[in-house]
Amino acid sequence: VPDVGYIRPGGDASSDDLAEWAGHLRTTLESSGHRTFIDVSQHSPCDRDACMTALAAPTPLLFFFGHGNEDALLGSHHEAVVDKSNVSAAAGKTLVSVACEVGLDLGPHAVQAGARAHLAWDVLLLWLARPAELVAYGEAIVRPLSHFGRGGSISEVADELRQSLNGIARRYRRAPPHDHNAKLAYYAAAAAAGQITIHGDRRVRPLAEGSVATAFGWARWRGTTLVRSALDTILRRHDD
Amino acid sequence: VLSEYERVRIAQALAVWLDGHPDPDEPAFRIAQEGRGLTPRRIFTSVAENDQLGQQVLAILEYSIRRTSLEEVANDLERFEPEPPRPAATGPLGA
Repeated sequence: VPDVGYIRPGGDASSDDLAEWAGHLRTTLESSGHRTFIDVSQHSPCDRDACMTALAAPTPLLFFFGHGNEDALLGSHHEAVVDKSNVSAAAGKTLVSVACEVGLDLGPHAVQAGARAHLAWDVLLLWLARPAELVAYGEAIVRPLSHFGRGGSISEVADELRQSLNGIARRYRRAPPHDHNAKLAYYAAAAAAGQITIHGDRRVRPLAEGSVATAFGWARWRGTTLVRSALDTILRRHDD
Repeated sequence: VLSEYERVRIAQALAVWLDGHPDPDEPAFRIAQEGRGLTPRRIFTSVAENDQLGQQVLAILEYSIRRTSLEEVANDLERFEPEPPRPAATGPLGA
């Protein structure tokens, strides 16, 4: 079963939200058998060297949950930890950047530099700081991404993200008419749903090798069991 | 990218939105780009001054403007109802 990598710098309120969502995703993927090969967090610490190690790690899928801009993924101190000068270390990988605007420039550059595919947003990700809304928005991100663990392709995951973020937009739209914050957050969720971008191979299923391997493993186990059972039957008849 | 006319119209609408806001200085929003929570006032100021954050907020609104119309989005931002008065705290009824 393929392993997974995570970079989640944390270090401030919104980055901590994102790091926590990454933790939920990690738990979900681990429960479906996808071990964590590397998890770079503020406890690692999350510096450029650690991120370089994560980029180069032998995992088919690497998630980033944190701050970003169109040129770079940013660390706890707003320094570029992944940018055009080091993203080539992720050659062959599928990258998912849950960060602002990374799909605009770094996303296509990552694919030009050898990444298999890159999923990101072209727009600012904005959510409400209220506790219940934090949970709902996090779930709207994590649940679709966990579809990778069931062998989902990057385009299928993007479709699920669109649906779940549109669900968040509808949730904000149903807020009472005096809820000014929900009104603006509605437009943000709608834009986030509509501006998910994939660069590179849209059909890639980065963790599907795990499903195939599991299927082969199961078939081999089943075959071995049947052969052993047949041999036992033959030997028993021979003994009789 | 929104035109200057569109930006000014949205800034006007956000001014109305802010004016009716019960907590304009409460950091109610978070973004995956900076750590501090954003207040409604900061969002309005950024759009009015057309700084980087303002342009990013306009990009959010542009998505819906292109799918509906400038006036539909602007009117929606301007339309609100005052928050109903909160019920008085209830306690055990006295004898």
